[in-house]
Formats: sequence, C-alpha cells, structure tokens
Amino acid sequence: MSAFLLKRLARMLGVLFVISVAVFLIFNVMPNEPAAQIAGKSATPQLIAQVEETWGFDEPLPEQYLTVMKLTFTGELVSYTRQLDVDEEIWKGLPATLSLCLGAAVIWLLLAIVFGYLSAFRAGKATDRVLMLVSLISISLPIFLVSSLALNYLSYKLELFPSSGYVGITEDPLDWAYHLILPWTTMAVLFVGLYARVLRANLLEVMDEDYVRTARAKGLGERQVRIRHVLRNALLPIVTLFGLDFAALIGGAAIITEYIFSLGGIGQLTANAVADLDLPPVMALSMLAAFFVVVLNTLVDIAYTWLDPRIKLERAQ
Amino acid sequence: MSAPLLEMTDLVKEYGGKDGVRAVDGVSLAVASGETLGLVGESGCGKSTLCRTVLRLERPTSGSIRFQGREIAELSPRAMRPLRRDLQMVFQDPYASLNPRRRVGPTVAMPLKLQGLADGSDPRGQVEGLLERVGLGAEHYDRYPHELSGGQRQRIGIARALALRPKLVLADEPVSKLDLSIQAQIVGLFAELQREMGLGCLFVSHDIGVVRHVSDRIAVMREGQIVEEGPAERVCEQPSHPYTQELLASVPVPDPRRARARRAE
Amino acid sequence: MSGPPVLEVDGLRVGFAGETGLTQAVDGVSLALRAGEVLAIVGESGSGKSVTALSVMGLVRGSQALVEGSVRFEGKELLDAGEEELRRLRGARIAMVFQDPSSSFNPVYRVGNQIDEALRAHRALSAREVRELTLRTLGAAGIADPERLAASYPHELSGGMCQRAMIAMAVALEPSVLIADEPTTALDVTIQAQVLELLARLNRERNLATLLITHDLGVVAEVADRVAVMQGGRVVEEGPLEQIFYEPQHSHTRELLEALAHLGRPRGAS
Repeated sequence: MSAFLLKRLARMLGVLFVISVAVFLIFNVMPNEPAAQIAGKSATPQLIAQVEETWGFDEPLPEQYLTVMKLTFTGELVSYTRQLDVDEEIWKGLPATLSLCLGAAVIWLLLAIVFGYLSAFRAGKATDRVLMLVSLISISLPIFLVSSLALNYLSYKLELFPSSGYVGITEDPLDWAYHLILPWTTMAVLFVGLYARVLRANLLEVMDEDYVRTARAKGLGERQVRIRHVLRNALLPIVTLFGLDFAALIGGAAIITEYIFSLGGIGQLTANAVADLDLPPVMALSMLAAFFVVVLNTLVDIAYTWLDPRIKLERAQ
Repeated sequence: MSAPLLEMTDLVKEYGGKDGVRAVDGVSLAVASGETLGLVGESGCGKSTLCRTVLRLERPTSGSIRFQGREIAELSPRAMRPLRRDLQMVFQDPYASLNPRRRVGPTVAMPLKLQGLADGSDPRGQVEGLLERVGLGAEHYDRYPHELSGGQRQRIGIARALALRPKLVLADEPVSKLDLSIQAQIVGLFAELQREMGLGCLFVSHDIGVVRHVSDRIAVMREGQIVEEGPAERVCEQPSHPYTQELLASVPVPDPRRARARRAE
Repeated sequence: MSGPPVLEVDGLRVGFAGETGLTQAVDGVSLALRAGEVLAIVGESGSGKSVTALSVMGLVRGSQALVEGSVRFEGKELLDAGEEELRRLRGARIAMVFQDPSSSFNPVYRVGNQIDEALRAHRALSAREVRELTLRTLGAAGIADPERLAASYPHELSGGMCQRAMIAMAVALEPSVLIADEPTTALDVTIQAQVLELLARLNRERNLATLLITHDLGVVAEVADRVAVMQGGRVVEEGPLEQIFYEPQHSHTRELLEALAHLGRPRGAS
C-alpha cells in the first residue's frame, strides 16, 4: 500500500507540474504586458513596477516560473484586480463549493439508484420507458437553462426559495439547506439522468449472470437477490464514474450554478478570475482543481480494491 | 530419416519476470511431415501457451524452435510472415474465432489474398472448392457466422487454415466446444484431410479419447513439462508415467459394466 | 429406490417468445425421479435438457417464457405454486448445482458468507450455528480445510474446490432432490472423477434423489441408475442404465453411442 501511495504522490506532483507550466506559459504567450495585465485595469505605474519586481518579469522564463510557484505555495498570491488575497478567497469559497457539490451528489446518487433500479427491474414496461425518457430530458437540459428557470420562477416569481447567497452550515443549518435547495436540485437534474441510465445498463447486464441464478436457486427472496447480488455488483462501475465526475465538479464544473445563484464558492472565483484574465487566482485555482482530480482518482482506486476483491492495487494503476 | 517438420528443443516461456510463472518449462517435441502428434493435458498445463509460442504469436524465453529445418525462435514478425503460409492454426472456440461482421467467403479468402495466392480470375471458385472439401456447400459462401452451427463454424476455421495448403497445422482444442456427434465428424475430417494433404499436425486437447483417435504419437503435458511421450497406442494401453495413468483412469468409461468393474478395483 | 416418485414431470412444454415467433425448447417431456435414484438426462446442445431442469425449480425467466404441463414434487404441483412457496423449496428441499462453479458464486462476497446466506434463508439459527453448519457441510463435501475455504473469495479457488463448495451449499439443508446441470463439464478430467464420486457418495449416504444433466455418456455410465435421452425438446428414450447402453432402442441414442465409440477408438480404426 505504501508503495502505491508513493507512486500516486509522485504522479500528483507530476500532474501539478504540467498544469502549472501550461497555465504559466499561456499567460506568457498573451500579447499584453504581463505586469500590466496582472496589476489590473486601474493600475498605477508604481503598482506595475512593483508587480514587475515581485513576479520577476525581467528574469528568464524558467526563473519566472519558479518565482510564480514560490508565490503560489507560500500563499503570497495577490489579485491586484480585485484587491484580494488569493489564498484567503479560496479558503472562504471552499465551504460553499463543497456544500453544493456534496449535497447535489447525495441527491443525484440516491435518485439515480431509485430510477435505475425501477427501470431495470421493469425493463420494457411503462415505468421503464417513462423513467428513461425523463433521464434523457434531464441529460439534455443545459444547466444554465435549468438554473435560470428555477431561479426565475421558483425564486423571484413564487418566492419559494432565496435567490442568492450562501449561509454557512455552522451558522444556521436550516438556512444553509434552504439556500442550497435550488442549486442542489438544478445540479442534480443534470447527473441523475446520466447515472440512472448507466446503472440501468449495468443492472440489466448483471441480472443475467450465473451467480444471480444461484442466488435464486438457493431460495433467497427476490428483493434480497436484487439488492445483495444484482445492485451490489452493478454499482461498482458507478464508483469510478462518480470519482471522475465529482473531481471535475469541484474543480469548476459547478461554476455555472455558483454563478447563477451567487454562492461565492471557488467556482465563482474561477469564473471571475477568468473573465478578468487575472493570473494569480487562475494559477492557484488550476492547481487546486488538478489536486482534487488526482486525490479523488486515488481514492476511487483504493475504494475499488475494497469493493471488488478481484482487483489488486498494483493492477489499479 | 529426414529432419522433422517441426522440432522444439528445451523450449521455455515465462511470464511475469522474477515472481512469475513458467508456463512452458523445457519442452522438447518433434512432429514429422504427415504425422499427427497429440498433446494431452489439463487446464493450466501450458499447452495453449506452447501453441502460441510455437506459432511465434509470442516470443519464447529460451530454447529452440526449428520449422522446416530453420530456426524461428528469434525471428521478427516480419520475417515470420512468409513462413505463415506453411504454418497454420485452428482455434478452439468456433464462436469467437470468426469475425461476426464478415461473411464466410471473405473470411476464407483472406489468407489467400494476404499471401498473394488468390486466383485472380476466380477467387470465389477457389473458396467454394475449399468449402466443399470441408463438407460445407458452396452456398455457405454468403452466410454470416451467426447463421451457422458450432460444427459448421469449425469447418470454416479448418477451411481457412487449409486454404494455403500449409505443411503444418496446429489445432488447439478444435472440438472441445462441440457436441459429441459433431466432434466425431470434425475429428474424422481432420484425419481425412491430413492423409490427403500429407500434413503434419500438432493436435492439442484435454480429451485423451479424442487425441487417441487422431494421433500417431501422443505426448502428455503437465505443469509446463512433457511427462510422457510415445506411440499413441502404447501411451494409452501401457502408460508408464503415474500422471498419464491417473489421466487415463479418470476418463469416464462409457460402459456401465466396465465402469462398475473399475470401481470395484 | 422405491415408492412413489419424489419428482414427477408430466407433459412439460416450455416455449420462448423471440423475434421469429415462439421457440419450443421443451416439447412434451415426461419423467419420474424416485427417492434415492440417479436419473441422467442426456442430450446434445439445444435438446432442452437444461431448460427442463430449470423449469423444475421455476427458474426459467418469467416474461418471455411460456410454461405448460405439470411438475410435481412430493405430490405438490409446482408450476402453479406461489413465489414464496417456491422460494421455500429452493435450496432446502430441491437444490441445484450448475455448470461453471467459478461464475456461480458472487465474486464480491466470500464463499463462506454465501453459504451462510443460503442457510439463513431457510433456518432461524444464530450466526454461530449457521457458520458451524457451513463448515460441517464443507467438511462433508471433502474439503480438507473448511475454514480457509469459507474465508476465500471465489476467484481464489480452483474449479474443483468451487464445485465442491457449491455442492456443499446445495446439500447443507438435506434436500430430497439434487439437480446437477453439467456439474463436471467445466472441470478437468481428474477433478471430474472426484466430483462425480462426491455426487455418488451423497446419493448413497443421504438417499438423495439426483437429476443429472449431461452430454457426456461416460459420466452417465459412472453414476446413473436410469437414463432419459433428449432430442429436440423431447425424451426419445428412457430406461435403466444397462438397457440404454447395451440395447438402445432409438436412433438418436444409437447415434450418441456411436459417436462416443468412434472417438475412443485408436487411429485408423473405424
């Protein structure tokens, strides 16, 4: 296990390196004065000079890169455009993003299991057709459309839910949930359809396996056969899928939802930073996203060996 | 006495490096032209690996393979290509070894085309002739594999292998997945074609009854090694190695009185 | 081997609805299995023998299958029995063993757990009692180290061990009937002999009526008392072991015997 973790750590460092170099080079390739760019729209010449020095723009590229890395990891990155400390902003934004993503994930997974199960075990019948149609629609609806419609009708018009803002869970759990219901639901809508369909396909495949026949032959009740044998095995590939999706989510796919509902999470931070072409936050957020992806992938691999005894860690690579 | 058609000396194939496994552990065998050598062994004994290694689908770890007097153990895939004309294989699973999206005719014609032996003026006629030779009708040319039975598909596998008139055919469990009565037919077809074409044949199977019917000599394989080898009759009637004896003793005898007598021993 | 039949099949017909209409897999099959007897059903692929066996247990897939006729177990009609009734019989009174032991166990649970599960479905015993029974049955099935096997996953076991565990699971609750569908086909010939011996022993010791499905006449000759030959969904011949082998009446029976003899002969002889 330790050898595996070390290899993964090395891999993570490799990924972070590649991403940081890529982001760095992109910004360097842009035509404008990098210092002026970073210093922002309303920069004074003094600020620009200061930026030049801090970021070392007169140094050769590799050294510039090292300087940027040092700034990033020692938490000294500052967004001049918005006058913010990048580190602090990320810290402040994380709870909102995590609350949004985790909550939505729980909802979409539970619903997908219910839909997938009902569809598969009534395959070909009305329930199946209806649920699969609903899934197809849910996959096809663009998230900005769903979010905007929800916001407009359920929030502004009917005033059922708050339209924006995030309330920390420690402050007021009920209010926290209340503010997140709409964002959770709109985000879940996108994924429920996909996961339900995948689960349905897996269930149909597992249903025909020999060991399911054995389970029935030894006198287990139908419900027990379906859950302990069919569902349990059909969920395995969902684990991998979820790991990938969740990482991408945290890393920024939640951007649109956060933006529309003004949740102030790191997705929103990213959206703003990209719009402003603001290098410091973009650099930090890209690294953060990469970090999440690698960590989550590793967790998925470990979970898989635990869930499927045929898989051994060395092969999981 | 001329050199054997196929000769393996101390052939070794390992997988997995240091902690790995020796699937083939020092095998020495020879097949003469026109002769059938039956190779018998249970699952995991290494016979399939041996087949793949002899065919150079894999590279041996060490040892020598001489085909028609020429050393082929170390040849590159490119250098092997012209030799493939003379060295063919029939596979075990008639359901898996035919491309389901290709019709029978093109499947059999393919080796001919690849080796440049297709009859320019009438390739179809050539293929139909082959189909008839293996007991199928010319009308099967346009069929898809899924429209045929296991036995029919295996006949196609044989037609494809024999299209190039090879010198040596390697058959890896060619009848295991077929019903008994069909097995008998296919084994008979093998024997007949071999006599007619003077082929050398390495016939691999876990079923000693099948092997006995088609072989001149039999070799028994276990855990990567040959434990016994000799004329078919001698090996079956007077096995000298304990494993061979065990193998023969385990084969269920389709004769109730003899089965009972044997149990009483 | 006396008394009324413990299992009676009467005019069984099983059809499957497919794209090209109804395929009649079993077309009027009648059989009788007496207590303590081994009845072998022999046939080639497509003869309907497996479907017949599955129908007895009510395991033929629901919506596409049309099942008619009668299957009586100890006098009770099974084809119109409720699901719960069938469930209670399966594994406890009528048990089944399948062809490929490695894929017949769920790969994500340990073998011991899966046997425990079978026992718990029918008996209200404490966890310890269940595990004790599991280990005892594994021992009775000739497993040298029951605890280690119970702690193993299916993929860690050889085919032979898996099949023994499967058989152990099937007979743990002392059923009256054991249905074995090609139990040795996927096994090596040396292991096959051992498994057949196990089945024969269980039949003798427990007076366990056994329905053995196979395509291998050698297997039949070793363990069967009576034989039913199937072809095209029908039983074409049925009788005592020696009659089938030495005085076959039907052409298909003769065909099967011929093929076998042909194969076993030395080269050149025909």
